[in-house]
Amino acid sequence: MIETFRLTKIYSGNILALDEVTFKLMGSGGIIGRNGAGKTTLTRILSTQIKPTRGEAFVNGLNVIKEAKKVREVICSIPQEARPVGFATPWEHVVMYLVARGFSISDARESARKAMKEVGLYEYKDLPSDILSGGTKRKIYVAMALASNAEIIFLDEPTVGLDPISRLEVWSAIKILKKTSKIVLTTHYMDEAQELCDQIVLLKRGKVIAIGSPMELIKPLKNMVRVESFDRGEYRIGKIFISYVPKDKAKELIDIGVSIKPITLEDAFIIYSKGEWDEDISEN
Amino acid sequence: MRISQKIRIIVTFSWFYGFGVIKRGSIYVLAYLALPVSFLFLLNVLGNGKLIGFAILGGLISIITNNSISSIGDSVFLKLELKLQDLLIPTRMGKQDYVLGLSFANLFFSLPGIVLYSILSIIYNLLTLHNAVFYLISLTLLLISTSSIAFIVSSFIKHTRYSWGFASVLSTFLGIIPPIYYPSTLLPSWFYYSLYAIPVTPCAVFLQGVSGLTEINYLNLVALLLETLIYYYLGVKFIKWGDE
Repeated sequence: MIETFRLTKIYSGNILALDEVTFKLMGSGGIIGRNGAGKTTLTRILSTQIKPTRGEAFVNGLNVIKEAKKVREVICSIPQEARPVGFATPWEHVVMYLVARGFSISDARESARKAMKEVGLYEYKDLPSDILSGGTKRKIYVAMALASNAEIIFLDEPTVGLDPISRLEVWSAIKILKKTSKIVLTTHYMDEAQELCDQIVLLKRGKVIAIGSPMELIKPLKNMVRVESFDRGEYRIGKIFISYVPKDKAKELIDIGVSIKPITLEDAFIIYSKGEWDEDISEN
Repeated sequence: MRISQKIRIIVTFSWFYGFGVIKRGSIYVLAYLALPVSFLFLLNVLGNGKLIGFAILGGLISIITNNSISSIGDSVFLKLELKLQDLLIPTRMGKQDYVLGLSFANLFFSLPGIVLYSILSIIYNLLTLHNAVFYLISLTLLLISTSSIAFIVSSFIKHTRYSWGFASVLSTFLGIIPPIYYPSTLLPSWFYYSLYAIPVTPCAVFLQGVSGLTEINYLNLVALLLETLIYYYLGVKFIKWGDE
């Protein structure tokens, strides 16, 4: 379980990355939001990498600031855009990581072997990482997480930059992780959040703007459809206007040449964000 | 955490980062050997064979120094590009383990050069059974101190693109200018003492002494030890681990 109380992070230069963030996350969950919404900052605080400016956070009841060492025993954190060392093999990566977590060499080798087989990485175990595909490289980190036996696994944007097939492969590997651990996923892909998360925390400019299961977030829109047009609509995103209208009105609109789409989590995100598309603050 | 676990973490990390280079990146081994071998040739020709001892000893020191200094690039690259540090912070690995692990990784991929120059040192009667322990101590101290200098410098670098440039400049400055390929007596004393703040200098002068090339002075070993402690302390202090 993840719990935060008025968690605030202000970086040097008075950049407010998290603003009094309070939420409770049971089970596997997702933290979603646009670039710069504060997802990575939140994950880094929860995984004891950085300290908040104010507020408190708990992972499985352990205070991430006062009990950081204990927290580290129960979590595994895979950073955003982590890439393997090119000349080292997947096997060397996973074993090194497990030893850093406190495994003995023999336990590390045994756990690495099991996890790599489970995520479909074992056949590549002795190849230098720089010749592997993007999806296979990401699987190295999923194997690390799986072998770590951590109770909670933080995955920061695990599929960013991957092609659709590789994304599906990584999703499949993450679903294996979910069998034994709780995952906390940050992503800006709504389909990913919908597929992998039981509960979602929606962040905007460092604030929580919505929380609930994907179904709960979509529920207010269940009788609506999404209408895309080039000249009219409630929300303007680039050159496209988007509106949400009742399903029974959709038929009339097709005749005037607009595009009609079913509602997804992405639409919930647009509505909760209230259509403000100016660039958010940088997290760096 | 138990000492045995710390040692296991450091050794495994060194194996992870150092062994792969020897096995799969042999061009790096040739690259770092290029300069010392060139000096060996040049000094041998220019000195009619009289400077061969300095050239061999200088090469040995230069290999360790240059590989340690190249940690600047590695340290910045691992942190900023590969996010390896972010991966390891929420584990039992502390920043001291990380610093020592990377330092000893350098030793791993310096090994082919160290072996080559050690053999030459034995052939030319520089390295003997009597002084082997001094070689071991001073070269280990050199490895730790120069790696620490690399970590200090890398902590100030914000962009990866600068790291290779810094490493190149410092490698030249630390691996050629101090009296490692020549006797320190050739330098004006003010310049010699100003170079003394760099651990390469007391290490080279001490090893030249114990190898019979110059007068032996054990104070150089004491100075090297002190400098190593200072640079290691600063290296661990300066390296950023999370947002400490």
